Amino acid sequence: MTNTEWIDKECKRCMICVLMCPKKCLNYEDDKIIETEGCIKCKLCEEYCPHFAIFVKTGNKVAGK
Amino acid sequence: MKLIQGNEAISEGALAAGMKFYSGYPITPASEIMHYLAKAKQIQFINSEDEIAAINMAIGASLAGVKAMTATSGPGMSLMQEGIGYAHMAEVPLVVVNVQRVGPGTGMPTMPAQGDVMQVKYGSHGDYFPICFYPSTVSECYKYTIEAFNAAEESLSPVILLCDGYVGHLYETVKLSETKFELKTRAKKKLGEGLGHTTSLLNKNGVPNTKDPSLYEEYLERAKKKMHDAAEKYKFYEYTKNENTRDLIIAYGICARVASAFTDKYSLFKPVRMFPILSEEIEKAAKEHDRIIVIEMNAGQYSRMIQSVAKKTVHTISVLGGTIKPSKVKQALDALKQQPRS
Repeated sequence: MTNTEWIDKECKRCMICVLMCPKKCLNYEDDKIIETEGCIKCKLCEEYCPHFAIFVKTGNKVAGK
Repeated sequence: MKLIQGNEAISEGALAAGMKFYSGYPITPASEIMHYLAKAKQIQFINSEDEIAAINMAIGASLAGVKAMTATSGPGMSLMQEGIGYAHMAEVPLVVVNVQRVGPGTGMPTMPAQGDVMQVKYGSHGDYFPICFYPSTVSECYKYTIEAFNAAEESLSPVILLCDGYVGHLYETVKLSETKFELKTRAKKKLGEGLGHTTSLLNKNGVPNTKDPSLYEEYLERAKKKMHDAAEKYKFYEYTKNENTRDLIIAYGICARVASAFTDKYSLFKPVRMFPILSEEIEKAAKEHDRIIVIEMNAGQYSRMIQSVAKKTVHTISVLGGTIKPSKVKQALDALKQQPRS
């Protein structure tokens, strides 16, 4: 169960989220952003993404849908 | 794919080229190169007490048999000139990185500039014929650092990798593995093997001679030929010709990135090998145009050199003080349209 939701269509593969994550838990593999263990839901990825392509899920609602 | 900055790409390039020794002194905007390499376990790293020690340690490491590098900015480059001259006479392969900032003196540490161009060619005393590359993208930082090491091995000289605070700190998403390269192996015999001479006195085959003018003349011819023959294999540049214009912009480093916004109305020649000057290529591009404009972040250093090669009037747009505004550059370009054509 991941904490982030990643939207493939919007993602421009700029790697800002990968670079900014303080827990280094986002990786770029197989042309996808994969979240691994350690996410603290700090929302830095969401704040920095220039394309609104990654969000921290809040409760039952998934932002961005 | 990684999002990295120019300085990091320079460090990665050095590691990819097989550099095994780094000595350096921190200075804005080059410090990131040092910080990155300090963590590289496969190399010997020394934070020297100053830039004079840094260049001399790197020379020592090279003479001891490994590929070595140091990086600095303007003030440090001024300190390293003696070492650079030494390395030319003693034929020491080396890479020296200069990430330029506004000078002279302490200048404006956080403001990029291109004011050390002439210093590459004439900074040390005596006659020498340096090789210098100047990348303008993060990918090029990686590629041309590797090529600088190759050129250093082939020319047995300190190759300068020029950069500026913008390109050094620019973050771009790159796939470094896409850059293909070959590596030149060590040709220089290390200390202890064969006959060498390391006082950097004029010498013939390791035997110093300080009295014979004809020996110096022989040396000068040989040095000139050696450097130009090596540089021939590194003719790096990009020429974007616009068939609908007689105006040519020549720009390098960050200015080439800015100038690329104007290629709808201008041709653009981007030298990557700054020295030896690409005289043939520049002369040819200049012949195809009748207004030559150099955009650079200094008072006109490369312009002067282009002028003697292009054999035409060269206009200079100087971007000064560290901030580049494309709108101001456009204003200056438009104003130049009033100038007579060559």
